[in-house]
Amino acid sequence: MYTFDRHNTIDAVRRFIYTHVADIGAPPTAEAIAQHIKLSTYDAFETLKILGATKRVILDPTSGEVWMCGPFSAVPTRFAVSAQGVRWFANCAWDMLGIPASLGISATVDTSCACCNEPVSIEVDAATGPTSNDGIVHILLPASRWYDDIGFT
Amino acid sequence: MLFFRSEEHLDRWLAERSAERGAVLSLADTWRLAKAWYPDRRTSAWRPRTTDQSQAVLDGLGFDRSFWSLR
Repeated sequence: MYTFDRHNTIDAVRRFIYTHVADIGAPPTAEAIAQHIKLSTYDAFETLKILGATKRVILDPTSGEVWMCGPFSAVPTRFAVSAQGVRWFANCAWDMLGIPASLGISATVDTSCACCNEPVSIEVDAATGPTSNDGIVHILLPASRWYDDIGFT
Repeated sequence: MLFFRSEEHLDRWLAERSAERGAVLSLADTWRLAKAWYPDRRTSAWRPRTTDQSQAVLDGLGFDRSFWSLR
């Protein structure tokens, strides 16, 4: 049983998640959401479930906390993005450019070659994108299969 | 969706896993995709796309539907 105005609350939680991750580098916990939106922790988790069911975010299946809020990852990955004193982690090589694209900022991407693990740093200009075209991005699965196992994708 | 230093490194990685090649994008094309796919989600105006709308984004970038079809 929900104890809150669902529509407005869902939108407020979604905006808070994305503002928080942009400002801090990580999405908020359900407890932080509850405090900010003035919900019970139970209702914060219920709202996350709704956002997860509609793929606005992807939840950790064990904890129920935000795992991915595209293009951001709640957990460290091999795709780190830094700008303005904040470091984010992206979910994949597509998302490592999705972070500066989404935030409209210039940034430095620190990643590594999936084959040899050689570290690679990519400078991204807010207006024009990567300043060099060295390297490629490989997408293994066709688009129709991306959500079969989003962690693998 | 992984980053590789070169086609040679990708081919080696695929061979080690007996995996088939998927789609390969340059960084410039990945940037085009990222810009089109990820608007700023902090605003109240943002709404999730339907599958058809997402497909239109991919089609608009000229990506081949044989790989980039969401259905």
